Amino acid sequence: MTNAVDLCRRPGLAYQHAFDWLAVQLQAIDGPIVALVPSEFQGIELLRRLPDISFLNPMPTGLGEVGAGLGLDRVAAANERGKFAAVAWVEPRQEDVSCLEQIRQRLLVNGHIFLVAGGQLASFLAERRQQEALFLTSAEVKNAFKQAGFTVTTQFGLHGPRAILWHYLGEAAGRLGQPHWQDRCHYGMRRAFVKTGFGQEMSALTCMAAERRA
Amino acid sequence: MNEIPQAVANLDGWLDTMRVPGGYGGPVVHWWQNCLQYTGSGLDWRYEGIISGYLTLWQRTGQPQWLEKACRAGDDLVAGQLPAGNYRASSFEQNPYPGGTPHEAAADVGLLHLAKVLRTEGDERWQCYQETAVRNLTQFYLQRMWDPAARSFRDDPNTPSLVPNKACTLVEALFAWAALSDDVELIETYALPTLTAVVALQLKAPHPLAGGIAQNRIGRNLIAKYFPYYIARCIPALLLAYKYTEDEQWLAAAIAAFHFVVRLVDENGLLPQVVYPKGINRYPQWVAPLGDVLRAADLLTPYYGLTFDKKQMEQVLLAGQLPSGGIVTGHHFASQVNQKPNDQLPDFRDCIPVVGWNDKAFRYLVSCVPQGQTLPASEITDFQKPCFLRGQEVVWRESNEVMSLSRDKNTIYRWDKGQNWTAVAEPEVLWK
Repeated sequence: MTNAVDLCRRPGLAYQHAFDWLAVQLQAIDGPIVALVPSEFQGIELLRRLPDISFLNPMPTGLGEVGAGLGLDRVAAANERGKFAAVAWVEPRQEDVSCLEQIRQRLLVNGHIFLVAGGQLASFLAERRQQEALFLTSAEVKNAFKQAGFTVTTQFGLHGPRAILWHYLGEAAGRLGQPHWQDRCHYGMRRAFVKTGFGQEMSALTCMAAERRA
Repeated sequence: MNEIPQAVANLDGWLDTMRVPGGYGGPVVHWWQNCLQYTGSGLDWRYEGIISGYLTLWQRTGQPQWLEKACRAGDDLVAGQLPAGNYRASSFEQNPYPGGTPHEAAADVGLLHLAKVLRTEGDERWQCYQETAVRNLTQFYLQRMWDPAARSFRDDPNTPSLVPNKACTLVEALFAWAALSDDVELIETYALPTLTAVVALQLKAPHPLAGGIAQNRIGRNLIAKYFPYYIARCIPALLLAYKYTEDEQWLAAAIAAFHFVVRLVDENGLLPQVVYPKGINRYPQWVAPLGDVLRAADLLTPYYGLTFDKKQMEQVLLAGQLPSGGIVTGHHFASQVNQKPNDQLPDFRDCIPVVGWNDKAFRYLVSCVPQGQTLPASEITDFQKPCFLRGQEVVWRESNEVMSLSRDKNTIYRWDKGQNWTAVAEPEVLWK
């Protein structure tokens, strides 16, 4: 059962970034938007940001209860047949690859998939350690997008090597009894948290926008 | 620089531009984290200063519209309360999460002050505001955050912890609740033991940081960081305890805390961000939040006759008011990492007025409006300023309709006021 304490729990910084990015992208879409998520955790994060979003099957169990906790009248399953303008696809699992063709068919031409997937440093995510699913990496999803006729238009990484280095420098400063340096390093980590350009897949999470070609 | 009544009128005008569905919105910049993309209603500590400020303005001017604005803010909280008693998006810099501390307690302080005023006026709305606050205090704080072993409130239901400034805000809420309900048990069982735990974290003379109150304790680990701003926020609760018990220890703790703060005021009337037993991180230096420091000085004056000259700090506050009506949050955000101020151009975050900081300035400035004086019409205008984003020159703009950041002719950040999320936020502005 999902209780109120769970609704107050905040995920790590990478996920906060990723879900905020998804919200900004999706709220700008004119047309139906849907989400495909592997578990309740990702569903909660989307619902608290976009209360009107509906979910593709398989919809995680417990989301209805989460919606009630968030004060929502209902949590909607996506229409079985209708088309949609955009999809939020969060942390696809190996078994979800088969969904891509279905998504492509139901996505309007020039519709978008907004993806959040683990990067090469996904093992740094505390939330990942609590889940047993076999997640696709961003590189694997990117390949799948290419094969299914999507063009990647935006991509950036979250929590890359520079941010991780700042983090460990801060840890070292703390152990050496220099908390003022530790704090400075912490903000260095936050400043370096978003990785664009070359090497962005070497990060804990990757955000990607892909457009369906005609 | 505006005179205080004009500054208050402009702040009120600006606050109206920051309305979104369900409350007051806009981006947040902070020492801990920024919240630049979520711009929807934040049911957090901004409501403490907004409600209290409008109540004071009503009492000073006798104009009913200010009471209605206080009630509108109260209605935001009532409508945004979740079934578990928390407020939606109450975490300020970490929004849109509920369960923010001290934010929900601060919102309760606002609601309970409003309820008290309305009850005195015979206005039946008071009951709804009181019920909302009591539901939050009971279901969230008393049931989930009270640590009976430590006899203080935790900052996280699952971790033994104490954050003095947050606990003090909660104590203010408990005193306000007790005043409405005549239930001294709230003070005896919860508030005073919590303050005892807070004062245990205060450094005593002859320590060089005497009067400073440590930022927090997690388990047995004391986090020996001393934030003058947060320490000033402990003072109102300590004074409430003194008024209630007439026990001098609370007054002594409040005075020592304020002496600590005053010793750190620099030649410009600004405070460092955080002081450590070894070292200091001076930047960013607060501007709008100084309203809380000035308020603490005012609260202490009747008991102590403080010799602190508020004038310079007050001038800093007024000088920070932008043509758009909001007051900047602080100076030198870009120096948060290297702690070397850059006087060429401000960081873009130095240009952003934030509702949850401006409420502190608003509450203080309103308290300076002379009794019986009505406000002039607000005079707010569009505003733009060159600034730096990650070392590159950009332009910050604000009008009644939009806040934006552009580089050359490209918009890299845009919030259309009234919307819950930014319309544009390029990756370089994704900065928490």
